Amino acid sequence: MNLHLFAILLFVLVQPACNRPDIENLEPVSDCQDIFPDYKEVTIPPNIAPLNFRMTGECDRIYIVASGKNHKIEKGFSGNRIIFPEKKWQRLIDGSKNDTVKITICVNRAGEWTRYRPFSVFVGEDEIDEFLVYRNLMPGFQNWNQMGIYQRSLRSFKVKTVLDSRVMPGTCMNCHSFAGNDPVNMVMHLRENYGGTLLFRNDRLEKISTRTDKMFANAALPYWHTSAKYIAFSVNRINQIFHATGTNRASAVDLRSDIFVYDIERNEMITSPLLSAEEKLETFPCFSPDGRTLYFSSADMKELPGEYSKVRYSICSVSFDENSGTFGSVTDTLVSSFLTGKSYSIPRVSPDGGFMIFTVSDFGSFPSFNPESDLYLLDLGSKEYCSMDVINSDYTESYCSWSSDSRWVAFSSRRMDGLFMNIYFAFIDKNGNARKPFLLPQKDPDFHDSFLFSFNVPEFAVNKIGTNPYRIRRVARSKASVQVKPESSH
Amino acid sequence: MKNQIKKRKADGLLPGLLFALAFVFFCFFYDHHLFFSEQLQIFMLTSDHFISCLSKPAFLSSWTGDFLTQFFYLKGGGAFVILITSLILWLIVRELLLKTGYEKKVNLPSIIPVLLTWAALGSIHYPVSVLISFIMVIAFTLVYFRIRTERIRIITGAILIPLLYVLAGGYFWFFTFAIIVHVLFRSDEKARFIYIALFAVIAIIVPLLLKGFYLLTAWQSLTYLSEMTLRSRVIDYLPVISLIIILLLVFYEGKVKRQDNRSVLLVLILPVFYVISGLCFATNTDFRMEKILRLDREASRNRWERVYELSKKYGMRNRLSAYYTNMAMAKLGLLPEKLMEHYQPAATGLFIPVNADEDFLTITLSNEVYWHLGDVNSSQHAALLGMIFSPRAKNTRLMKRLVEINVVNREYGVAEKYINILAKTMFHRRWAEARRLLLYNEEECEKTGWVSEKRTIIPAKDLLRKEGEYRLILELLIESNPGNRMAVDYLLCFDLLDRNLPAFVDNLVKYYRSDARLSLPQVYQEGLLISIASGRNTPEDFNQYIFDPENIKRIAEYIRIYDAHGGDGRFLEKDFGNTYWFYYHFAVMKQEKKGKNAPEDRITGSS
Repeated sequence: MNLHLFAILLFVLVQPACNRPDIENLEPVSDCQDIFPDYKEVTIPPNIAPLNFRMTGECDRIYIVASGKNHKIEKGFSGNRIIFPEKKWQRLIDGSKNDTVKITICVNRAGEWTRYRPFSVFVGEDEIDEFLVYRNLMPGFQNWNQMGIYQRSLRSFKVKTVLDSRVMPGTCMNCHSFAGNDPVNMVMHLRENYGGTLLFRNDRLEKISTRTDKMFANAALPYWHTSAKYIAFSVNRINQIFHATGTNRASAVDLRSDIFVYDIERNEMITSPLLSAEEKLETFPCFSPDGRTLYFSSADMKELPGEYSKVRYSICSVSFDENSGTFGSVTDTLVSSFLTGKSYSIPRVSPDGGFMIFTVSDFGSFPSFNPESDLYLLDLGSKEYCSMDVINSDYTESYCSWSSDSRWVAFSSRRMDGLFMNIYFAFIDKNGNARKPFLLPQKDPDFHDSFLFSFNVPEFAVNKIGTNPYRIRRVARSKASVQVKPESSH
Repeated sequence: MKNQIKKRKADGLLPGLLFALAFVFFCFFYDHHLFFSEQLQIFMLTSDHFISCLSKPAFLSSWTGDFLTQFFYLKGGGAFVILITSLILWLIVRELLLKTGYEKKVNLPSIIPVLLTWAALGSIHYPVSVLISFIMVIAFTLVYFRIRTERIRIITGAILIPLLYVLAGGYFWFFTFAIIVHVLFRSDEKARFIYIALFAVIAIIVPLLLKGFYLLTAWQSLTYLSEMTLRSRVIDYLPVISLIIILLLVFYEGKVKRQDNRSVLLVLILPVFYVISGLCFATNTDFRMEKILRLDREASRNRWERVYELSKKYGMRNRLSAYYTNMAMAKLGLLPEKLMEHYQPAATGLFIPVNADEDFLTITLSNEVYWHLGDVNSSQHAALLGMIFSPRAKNTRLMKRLVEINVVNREYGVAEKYINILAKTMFHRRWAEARRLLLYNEEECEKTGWVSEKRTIIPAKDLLRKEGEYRLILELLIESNPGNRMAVDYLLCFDLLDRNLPAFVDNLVKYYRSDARLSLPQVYQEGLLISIASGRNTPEDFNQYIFDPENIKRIAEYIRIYDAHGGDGRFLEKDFGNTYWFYYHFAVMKQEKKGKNAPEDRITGSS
C-alpha cells in the first residue's frame, strides 16, 4: 500500500518535470507571431488581471516562462491556452513596476518542442482605476432585447451586474456616467419600459423626469461636473438610417439636438442660446476638470436625414460659472470641421486637464457606426491635435474614457472582426504619447470565440457601484419620480 | 392466470398505442416544429457551453436537453428523442406509483403526465430539457422514497430540494410536494408538520435567494423551467400537477385504506385527465405554424416549385404563407402572372416588417426575402435582429445566414466568428468548414456560384434609407442590376399591392422596357387597364405594350357591373375576385392576430 502511494507521489512529482522542455538548450526559432489577444510589447498597469492568451495554431502542450524583476512564473499547459494563476501574476507584475516582464513560449507539436523568441510586456508604474463599467448588447440596429450594464474588476475577472434586461425585460439601459470616475455619484438612463433617468447620489437612488416644457425630448448622453452639482446632458431626437451596401451598416442621425445642464440642487435644467440654437446641432457635452468650461460637438443643421452625410461636427467650448450656474457669451471652436471636412465628436478631457481625446469620422456624431472613425488627441495647452495612430485601427474606434490619474484610457473598437465592439486600454504618457493598446483581459482566452455581445460605453470607476439590479428595478418601476423644472432666474 | 395475462396485455396496449401515435405525430406531422427548435439553440461540446448553462437554474437538464435537441436536425431525430425520453418518463412514473403502493392498472395513470408532456411539447417554448427535468425530479423522488430511516430521509429531502432547483429548475416543486405528501400520509412522527414546514420554507427561500445570482425576477425564479420558457404557462406545469394529484390520491387512499374509494376516485379522475390532455394537445399544437415552417424549410433548400405546390395545397390566408408564396412565385417567374390568385395581405405579404412589435419567429424569417433579392445589408439587419430576439440569443440558422452575408460583403472577420462557433457543433460543422474555405480567398469565392451570383446583384452604390423604405431599395437594386427580375417584379407588385397606381405606371415604364412591343404579364395588364379606366392614363400611353383582348373585354364587363350596382363588391366577387381590379377597389386589410388559433387574415368585400 505504502509502495503504491509512494509510486503515485513520485509520478505526480516527476510528471511535470517530464513535460518541461529543456528551454536553456532550445534555440529560439522565430518571433512568436501567433498569439491571441495580441499582448506583445504592450504597456500594462501593475494592477491588471492576468493577460491570459492562446496560441492560434495547433499545439499539444505549451510551456511558458514569464520573468519579471523579482518574480517568475513557469508553467506548462496542455492545449493552446495559457492561463496564469491570478495570485502569482499579481506578484509578478507588482514586482516588475516600471520594468518589463519577458514571456518565453515553448510549444510542443507532435512531441517536438519549439521555442520562440521572448516578447515583452512593459509594466507601468501608474495603476489603472479598479473597475470598468460597460454595457453589453448584441450588435444590431434599432432594436434590442437582451442587454446589461456590468462592473468588471480590472484586477481580477470578477463581474458584477449593475442592471440587466433579465431583471428589467424590455427596458433599454444606457449612458452610465460617474462624477470624476467615482460611482458614488452616478446617472444612467432607462428607455421604453419604466423609462427615466436614475440618479444615484451618496447612496440615494431616485428616478428623475428630465424633460421640461423647454425640451423636446428627455435628457441623454450625460457628463458630470467635477463638483458633482451639475450634470450636462444632450437632448437628442435620433433616427437610425441604413446603408444599402458596404461595411457601413447603419448610422444614427441626430435630427435635432441641444445641450442642457442639470442643476441638481435647484432641480433645474439650464441652458444657453449657444447650446440650444435652432440652426445648430449640439451634442456630447463634457466639462473640463476645473469645471469652468463646457466642451461639446456642434454642427450646422442640414436637411435631415437626406443630407446626413454632410453633417460635420466641430469641437467647441463655452465657459461655465459653477457658482451662478451661468454660461459665457462666446463659443470657442477648438477643432473646426470647416477646415478639415471631418466630423469631430465625443470630446473627453483628461482629469489633469492636459489633453482631450475625441473621435474623427467622415460625418455624423455617432462614430460607432462609422468604420473610418479614429481617436485623436488634442493638447489643450498648445491646441494642437493629431491622430493617435498607435491605438487606431482600420475599423471603428469610438467611445473613450480616461482613468482618474489621466495615464490610462479605455476605448471601444471593432478591430477584432469588424462587427463586435470590444474594449481596449492604452497607456498615455505625460506628453500625450500613447502606447500599444491591449484588449480587456478575459479569464478564458477563447472567451471571444462564442461571445455574441458587444462591449460599449467603457467608463472607469474607482469604487464599486453601491447599488444592485433589484434596487434599481424597484426605483425604476415606482411611480414616484422627481420632475425637473425648467430654468428659473438665478 | 390467463385472464390476468390478458388484463396486463390490455393494460399495456393503450400506452403502447399512444407511444406509437406520438412517434408518428412528431416524426411526420410535427417535424418542422422540431427542426425549427433545433435552430433556436446551439450546442457545443465545450466547457464554455457547459459553464454557460450554470448561469441559470436547471443547468443539468438544460445541458442535457440542448445535447438532445441538436439531434432534431436529423429527419426523425426529434421524434426519436421524444419517444425515448417520454418512454423513460413513463417507466419512471410507473415505478413511482408502484413504489407508493398503487398496483391496479398502473400503466393507465402513469401515462397521464406523459400525455400532458406531449401536449406541452407542441409549443416551441417547452423544450425537451423540461422533460428531462421531469425525469430527474421523479428519479430523485424515488431515491427519497427508498430511504428507510426517517431522519436520514428528512435530511436528504432538505438537501435535495435546493440541489434539484439548481439541476432541474422549477419542476423541483414536484419533488417538494411529493415529499410533503409522503411525510403527511406516511409519517407518524409528531414532528411531521415541522418537516413539512421546513421543506416548504426551503423550497420558497432557495429560488428567492438565488435570483440575484441567476438574474431573475422573483416570479421567474420560482417558476423557472428553461431559457425558452421564461414566462411559464399553466400548461407547462400540468404534467407535474397531474402527477402530484395522482400521488395525493394514492397516498390518501393508502392512508384511509378504503379500497372501494380508491377505484372510485381514480375512475373519476383518470378520464378527466385524459380529456384535459386532449384539450391541451388541441390548444397547444399549432398546425398553421407547422405548415409555414414547412414552407420555410423547403425555401431554405431553394426548392421553390415545392414551396409553390405546398402553398397552393395549403391555401392559407396569412402574411407568412403569403410571404413564402410570393417569394416562390418570384423565383419561378410567376409573380406578375399569378399574384392575385393567392391571398395578398397588402405589401406585408412581400416584406415582413422588422421591429420590436413582431414576434421572434417572424423576425427570424424576415431576412430571407432581402437575401434572395440581393439586398444583403437589409438581410444582415434582419438576421442580426433575429439573433437579438431569438429567445436564447443564439440561432444556428441565422448564424449561417450571417456567414453567407459577410462572405458576400467580404467581411471575412465577421463570417469567421460565426463559422468558428458552428464548427464546434455536431451537425453544422461540415457546413461551416466548407464555408471556411471561402474566407480571405477571392479566387475561391469567384468560383463559388452563390457568392459570385450574389455579388453581381448587390447594390452598386450606397444609399441611406429608413426602416421600411422598400421602394427605395428595390429601385436601387434594379438600377444596379437591371437584370434583377425578382427586384423588378417585387417593386411593381409592391406598388400594385400598395394601390399606388402612379408609382406602378412610372416604374413599369421605367424598368419594363423592350425594343419590340411587349406582352405584359397578367397582373401588370390589369394594373395598366385600371389606370386607363380611372382616367389617369390613356391607351396611347401604353402603346408599347400588347394587351390580351380578353382582359380588355373583362374590364369593360367589370366596370359595367361596378357601375350598375353602385360599387357593391358582392356582385363582382364571384367572377372578378381574383383580379387586381377587385383588390384595388375592395381590399381591406384586417389586423392579423398573432399566435396560435388566430383567425386567418381576410380581405373583405365591403366597399
